[in-house]
Amino acid sequence: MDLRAARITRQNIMSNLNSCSFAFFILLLSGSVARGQDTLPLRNRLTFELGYARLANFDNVGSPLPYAAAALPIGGTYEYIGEHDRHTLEGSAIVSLINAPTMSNRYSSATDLRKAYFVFLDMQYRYVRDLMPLFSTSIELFIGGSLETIIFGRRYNYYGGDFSSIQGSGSGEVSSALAPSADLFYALSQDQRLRASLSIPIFAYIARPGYGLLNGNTSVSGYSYDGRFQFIGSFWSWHIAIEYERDLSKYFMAGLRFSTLYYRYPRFDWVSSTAENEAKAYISWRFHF
Amino acid sequence: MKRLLLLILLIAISGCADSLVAPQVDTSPPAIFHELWNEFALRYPNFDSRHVNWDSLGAYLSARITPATVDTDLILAMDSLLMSLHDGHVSLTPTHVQYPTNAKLRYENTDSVQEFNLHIVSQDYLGETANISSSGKLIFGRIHDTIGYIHITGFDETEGESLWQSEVDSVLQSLWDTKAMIVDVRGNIGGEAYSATDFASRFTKSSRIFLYEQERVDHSYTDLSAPQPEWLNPRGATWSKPVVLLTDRFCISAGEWFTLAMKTLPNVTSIGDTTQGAFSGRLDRELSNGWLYSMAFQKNSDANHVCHEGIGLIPDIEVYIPPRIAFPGDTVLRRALQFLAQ
Repeated sequence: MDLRAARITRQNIMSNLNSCSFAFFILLLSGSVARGQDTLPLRNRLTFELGYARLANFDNVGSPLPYAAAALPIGGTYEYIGEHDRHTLEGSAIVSLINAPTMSNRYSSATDLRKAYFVFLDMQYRYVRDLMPLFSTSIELFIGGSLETIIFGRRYNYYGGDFSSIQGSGSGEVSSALAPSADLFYALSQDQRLRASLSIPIFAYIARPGYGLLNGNTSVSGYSYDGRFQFIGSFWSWHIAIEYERDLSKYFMAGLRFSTLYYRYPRFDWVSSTAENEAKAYISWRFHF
Repeated sequence: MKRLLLLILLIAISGCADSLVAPQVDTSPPAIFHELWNEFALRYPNFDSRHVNWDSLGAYLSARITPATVDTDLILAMDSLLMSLHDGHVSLTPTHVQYPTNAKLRYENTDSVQEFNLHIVSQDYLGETANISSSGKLIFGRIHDTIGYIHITGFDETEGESLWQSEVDSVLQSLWDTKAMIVDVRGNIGGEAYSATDFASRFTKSSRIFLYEQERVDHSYTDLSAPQPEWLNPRGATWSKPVVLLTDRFCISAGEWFTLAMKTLPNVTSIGDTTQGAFSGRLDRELSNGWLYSMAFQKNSDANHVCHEGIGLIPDIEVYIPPRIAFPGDTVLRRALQFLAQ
């Protein structure tokens, strides 16, 4: 019965983010001078990513308790690098029983087998354009936008059992969000680069099961859904990434990437909030058509 | 050193994600009682059918709960709350509590005796013709060689639609040359509604509405969605010879969907006891302290918009066995055979 969750307020979340941003700026401004945008004629990149992630969700229709799981996300990126812009198509997947265990809450134990099976898919298209060198330094600022689609489905099995067990509930959401995006590039040397990116969605299409509560939909158990366009304010979301990259050869690069994704979608008496933090190692192949 | 840094990084990643979504969770006894009361207040659609004043009951019982209330007293208060509904889809499972040993507390109507015994039916009536389907859900055979008998213990939940359909086809085909059919849903524990509708569809020659579904749409206990019709459509070769449907108080949920569908057909006569009166689907949920519960979320009515929730489906020929009396054999099945012999 003794359950004490950490109290999270908007103030301390913003405080943590501001601290991270400030530290990153200091790191950038103290470096040497070089161009961040890759100038090689090999303008296409194919990247394979593998890492560690923590995925946490709170959905008050699925459960009054937050569920979370560690995972080994896999993903890939295709990137086209122009003279002054970048097109990036990125995807990653976490599926329970494939590259993650089931999610559990704080009450799950060896004798209490409740769990949540899940599928988490994240796909993002991103376009950014070189705007200017920042503060007359070698830091380059890119501005653009992104369209990010996230599919997160959850199947709660409160009594344990396998996937076919119906003793639980299902929930989830699908969202497609348009966000202004900003990237900062900085070259540590000829073969090492840093990159930071930020997207804050302002407009999103959000769909969820038609729970039939307070919204005129007719089915909890059926497969109807409630989908609509929403503006920032009626939901909150952000996606931040920091990346270090090093050339291995003319054609190959390796890197490390830390990213954090968060969204909170409230609607009627339903709230779903999700955070995914991940650290990935990647290897990229540069090529030219 | 690198391993230490990696460990710190992993801990930071894990902690950050969890804390970003962690809600404020209050697991004090008054909060848990209110959470349970409020979830029903938001979603349960059958307070009026079951003649329960939820607000009054909640106010009366919550006055007993304080932050110092121990688990057993909290369970007793919640048990009293849910008991008022007498709903077979409602249950409470206080996990992590030693007393009453994690038992699932259930709230069915238990005002009748379960006379039905499948062993007696198999031994005394079906004899060597007794058979069982591949899923184990259908027990079938012949009585006096001319009457087909099928007992449905529950409706399929796991095998999938096509396997269930082929199983039903196979059983009906083996009894197709009989003159009448006894379909027995006594003790039917329910299951998937599509399986119930699919089975009943083998007995109709025309499409008809047999049930309307409604759910809660706002905070008012009586504001429900527009009635959504459920159709019974003919499927495959349909049986049009006489059918006797056997029911009892332990036939619940999808078993009652099936009974409702069959009772719309002109060649079906129902015999036995009134069914449980719990037509909704079941919604499983958990509370913030980790306890589990389930509730009904639909209000279902028959084709004439009459709701039998809390009452059950009254058979055409009632055979009521009082709890204090135990007759030898199967009284209801004997009555069915008498009816078919007339």
